[in-house]
Amino acid sequence: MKKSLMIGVAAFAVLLLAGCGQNATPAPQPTTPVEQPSGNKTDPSTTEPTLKKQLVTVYYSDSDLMELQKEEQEISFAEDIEKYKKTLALLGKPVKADAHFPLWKDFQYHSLTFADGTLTIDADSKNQYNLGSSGEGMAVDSLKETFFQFPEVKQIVILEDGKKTESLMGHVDISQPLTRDK
Amino acid sequence: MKRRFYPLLLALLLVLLLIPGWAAAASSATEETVSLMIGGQAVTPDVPPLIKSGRTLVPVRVIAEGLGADVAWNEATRTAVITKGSQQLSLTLDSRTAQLNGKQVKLDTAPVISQKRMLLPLRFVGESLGITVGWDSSSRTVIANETPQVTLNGRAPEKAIKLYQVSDTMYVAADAVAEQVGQKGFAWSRPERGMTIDSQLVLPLKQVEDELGGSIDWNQKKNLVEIERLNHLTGVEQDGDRVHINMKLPVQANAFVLTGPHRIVLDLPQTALTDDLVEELKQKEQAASTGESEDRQQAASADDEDEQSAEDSDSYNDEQQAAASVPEEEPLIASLRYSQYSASPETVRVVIELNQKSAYNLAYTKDGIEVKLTPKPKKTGYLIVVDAGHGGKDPGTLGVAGNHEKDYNLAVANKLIALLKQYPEFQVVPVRTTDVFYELSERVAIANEMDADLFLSIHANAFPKPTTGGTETFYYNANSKTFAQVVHKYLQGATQFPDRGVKASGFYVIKNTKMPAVLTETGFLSNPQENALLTSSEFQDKIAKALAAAIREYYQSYQ
Repeated sequence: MKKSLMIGVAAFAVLLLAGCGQNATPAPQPTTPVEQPSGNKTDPSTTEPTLKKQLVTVYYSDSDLMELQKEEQEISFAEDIEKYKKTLALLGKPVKADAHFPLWKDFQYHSLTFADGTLTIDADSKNQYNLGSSGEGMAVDSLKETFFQFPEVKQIVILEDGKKTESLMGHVDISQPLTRDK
Repeated sequence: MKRRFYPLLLALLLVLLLIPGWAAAASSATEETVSLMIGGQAVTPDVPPLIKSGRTLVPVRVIAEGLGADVAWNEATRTAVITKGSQQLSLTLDSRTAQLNGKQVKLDTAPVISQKRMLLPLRFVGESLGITVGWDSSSRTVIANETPQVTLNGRAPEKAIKLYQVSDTMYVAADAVAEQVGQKGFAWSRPERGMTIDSQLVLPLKQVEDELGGSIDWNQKKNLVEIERLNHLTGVEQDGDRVHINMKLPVQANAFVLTGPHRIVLDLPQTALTDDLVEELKQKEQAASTGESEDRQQAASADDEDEQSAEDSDSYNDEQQAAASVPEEEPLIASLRYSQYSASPETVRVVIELNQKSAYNLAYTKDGIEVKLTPKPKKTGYLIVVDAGHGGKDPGTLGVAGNHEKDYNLAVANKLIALLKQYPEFQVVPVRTTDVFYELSERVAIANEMDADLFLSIHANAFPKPTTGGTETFYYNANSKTFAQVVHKYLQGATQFPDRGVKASGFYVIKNTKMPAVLTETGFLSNPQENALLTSSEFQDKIAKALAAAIREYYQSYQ
């Protein structure tokens, strides 16, 4: 017992150090000019992160899957990326739980990133949605309405496990980025 | 017995543990050892090379002697002027600005003084002087040598091919060679015999020659590497719905389709016609110009495969007329042609002209390429594509009884197909008749490629709230609205579920199909009352009949 534990620890240490070794040996690459990071935009400041508060409008289905319903909810965040993540989380949690049905309940995703006007959501392919075309159509509409309230978001890209996909639930075409028109 | 083994294993692991740790510690220090291989010779300068900001710096003398350059030192300006052939480079100590043939250039790393020697960035100096410089990270060696002239089948290669000399062996960027002889992505059988230089696999010339075929000669005196690897087309043969393209060496064809008439074109890179074939083409051309020929289409060159060629389209019109007068069973392949499409670089073009649109598949054999043709079914009537939504790995929505939407969709689709087949004027094409998965794009492709007249996708809905229910019909493109209204009228009439109406929504299969296309959501499997009906065979019959009646009405009233 003890010995196998020790071996385990040693093996773990080997893995750990092997990893360190890789990091510690920057292979000199005389080929391409070394990219000098021109100073991170977000300087690691020692000050307390100040939380911004914002009212956001979040969209849900009505109880009959006929029309989108909106709610205003408040979120607080330090960095903009949290604003999107918290908003996405709210899409699964209406305040009026009796009248409003969330279309993104328990939605799991690998990552959410924002760059150059594009919000990219990398969805987990293991999500179980159980919505037909009506529900998927409305889910995508609710996502668009909700995120396009932020003027900086110009388009939304939905991936599945890091890859482009035709559709999340087998109906709505998400092979192209979702845009503000239409 | 076994127990005694453990301490040994543990010791081994600890040793293993020490090595990377030690290596990491050593390499994080500034003095990393770097070897130099210059002109094939290992060089050990009196002052060891330095690595600074990822660049290797070497003493001036290494550059002067090893690379055969003249170096003059100007003490006043602290500038080294390096001359090799017509290239002149001036570098100033501690300055990242250099002069190359009188023009200012930027360096990543400035020359420095180490142990009273001026050290210069080797790659920058080398490449400025036309020297090949590479970095082998596994042996931490900088390799520099004169850049040999390279010819590929007698011409300068389109993309530069790098060569590195180690002792008496010349190594070549293997993938660059493979790609340029028409073997992109070649799987090397013994890559371990090579090295990785600047993240590229390099292999000894001999090995590349052995694996790719052809010949590679290195003339060390002339500093010339000649790669001769020209493939020859020896013939093109038809064998039923297959075409054999016989070649002497393997190359990857660049295949594409031209329409009007339907042609499959294969361009064979770095390939020439054999003398026999050249002779054959000549004779056929002569025959064609003297007598009016039936085998004109059989023979002759495929040079005229560009669409703008007037002669080309003329001959096709003739053929089309001929085909129209003989409406009998046509052979799948109308003609086979080949030609030396380009002489520089040599490219052979093979054209398979078809009487019927076909899918094709290329298989590379030891004798060349086998093209397998799969003719697409011809349109014989008013063509309706019936799409049972989801299927296979995609179950669709989940019913309250644990039932899956894909099964409902398939049951109704199969019933509908049987009903529609009773009408001889209808040609019914199902997307699926079993529990299999099709991508949405495949469903669309079936309808678009067959030029279908109608597309109907059958689905069933779901929502977390069990009381939600109803029948809903979707369309997207303007040409589909009427069809959607007709379908909805019949469908909702049959279900008597709440009427959720006809709506426009950009669902993949109705957005990307060209013909009138509709997606139906018959009812909600999440609604216990509706689900009980939707899962009953009698109710499914009723739905199928309603959909068939809708298609009949649309066909009779709006076509």
